[in-house]
Amino acid sequence: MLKSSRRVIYSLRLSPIRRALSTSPVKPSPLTVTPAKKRSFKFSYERSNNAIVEEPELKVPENKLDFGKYERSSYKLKIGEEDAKRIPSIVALHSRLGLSPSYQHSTLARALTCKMKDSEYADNKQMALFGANLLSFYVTEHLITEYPRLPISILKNATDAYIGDFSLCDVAKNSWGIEEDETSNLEKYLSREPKLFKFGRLRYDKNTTQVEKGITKFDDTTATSLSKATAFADSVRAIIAGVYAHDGESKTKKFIDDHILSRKVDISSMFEFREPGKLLARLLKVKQMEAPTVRLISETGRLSNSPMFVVGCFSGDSMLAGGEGSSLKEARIRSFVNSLKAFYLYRPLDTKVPSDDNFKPLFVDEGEPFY
Amino acid sequence: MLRDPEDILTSNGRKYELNEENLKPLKEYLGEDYKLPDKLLLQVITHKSFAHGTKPYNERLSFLGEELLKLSASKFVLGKKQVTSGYKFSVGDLNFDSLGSLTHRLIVTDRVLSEFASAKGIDKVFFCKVALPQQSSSVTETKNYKPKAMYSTITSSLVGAVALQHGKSTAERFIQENLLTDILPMVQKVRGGK
Repeated sequence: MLKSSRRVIYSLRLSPIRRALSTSPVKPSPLTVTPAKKRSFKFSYERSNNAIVEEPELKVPENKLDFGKYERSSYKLKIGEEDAKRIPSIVALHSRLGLSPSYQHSTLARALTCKMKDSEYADNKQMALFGANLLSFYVTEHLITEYPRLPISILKNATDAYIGDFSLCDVAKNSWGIEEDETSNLEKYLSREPKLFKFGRLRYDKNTTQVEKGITKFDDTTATSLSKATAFADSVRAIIAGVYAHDGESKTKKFIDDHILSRKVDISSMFEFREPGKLLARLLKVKQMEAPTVRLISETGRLSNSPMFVVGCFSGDSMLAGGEGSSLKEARIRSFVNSLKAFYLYRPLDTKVPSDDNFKPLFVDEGEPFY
Repeated sequence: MLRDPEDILTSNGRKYELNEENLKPLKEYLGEDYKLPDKLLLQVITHKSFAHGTKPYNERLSFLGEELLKLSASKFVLGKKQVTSGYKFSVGDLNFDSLGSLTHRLIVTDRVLSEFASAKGIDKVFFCKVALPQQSSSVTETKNYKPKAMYSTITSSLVGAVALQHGKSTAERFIQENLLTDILPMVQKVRGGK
């Protein structure tokens, strides 16, 4: 009795292993294929820069290089300058942004109209594309001049932090005060709002992702539907393209400096070093400097429960960076990270970006062999 | 075991060195107007894949160059306004309708930029390490194998280097006078073929 029960327990214990080890002659049922997980967002410079306008919605002239003759076939209506000036939110936005008198109000109205299904109004899609071109050049130029040694992956992240959809959405919503057109036609009618006023708000085909409880979702996503962040960001890009069209490039540069590049982006927090000690040792070897040594500079309360150590990371006689921590190991690793950051975040003094007047040749980094 | 440095520092039978012979094709192409320092020129013709990235390479130059190329291409497309003055949907005399069309998108592509580099002969000396195609292809084919993504960086990093050395306005003039005049016929050829 005892023996048999033991055997049962033994076989029970082994069973999962046996199943794993056995090679069954029967072909296993195919695994259910889970679709590859899509990235929830793309970097903005991948998206708006690469907007595509295909042939059916575009009238292409015989000579394809005659770019002045291209026409969008869906365009039939346009908010005129007189009408645009009667929309309070457009007038308010115009003066809030400090736009010049030559900047037409109708351009702002167009910048707030995204491409929508069955819409006959001129939209901001292509203006946003040009705005994205302007933004990504000026931001890249700024970053390369300010931080010539920034690794390319961090450079891309920093660009995105300045002009990504989420950042530009923040600019549009929170500092420029652009509003979304959320009310239905019935609500507008009941509140006796003039029909024209909707052109003063951001209009786009919403990409519904979250469904309220008790509501059945039916998929109404079309080719034109945009996420909230993209729609807001595109309006910013289109407004910047408008500045270029009305006031020229130097004003555009000033505008980008004032509204986008003036925002604070903490680049040093974008670094993440797996093995800072190894990385630093290799970096110094490539730069033909002596291997790093860490020396204790000062310490307090080694025997207490809250000690503090301050160390310095040296290459030969020159100190690369300091580090502090509550243990020797922590301080050491911090000093490695700080010396790596001191290298990558090197900033030359009195720099001028290539688009400035009296430009002097810039420091060009050689590019790092790792990171 | 370390690899032979001679082997690593050789690409297509040419040794990596800062000498006249290596820089000759680029120097001839650039002429006096857009002269660049020798060190920068060598960096332009070195790809990240060469010698495990231990030599100065052109990634960042081409990153900036590509941004500038895209901007200039869009500006060029917008600048053609002989007919647009009366067009109802233009914004301040600029017709935005051609942006994002296939012809506009083709101007800055790896395909066209690498074709340009080979047409101008500036890809004769290029330090890179190419992942070779399948074994079955013939010897001559592997010799002429030029991946577009790699060879297009010659053109784009050249633009980036000119921008970093001479400033944006000079670089834009360089693009207008030297690049677009050759690139546009190529675009038309590609566009006509489809």
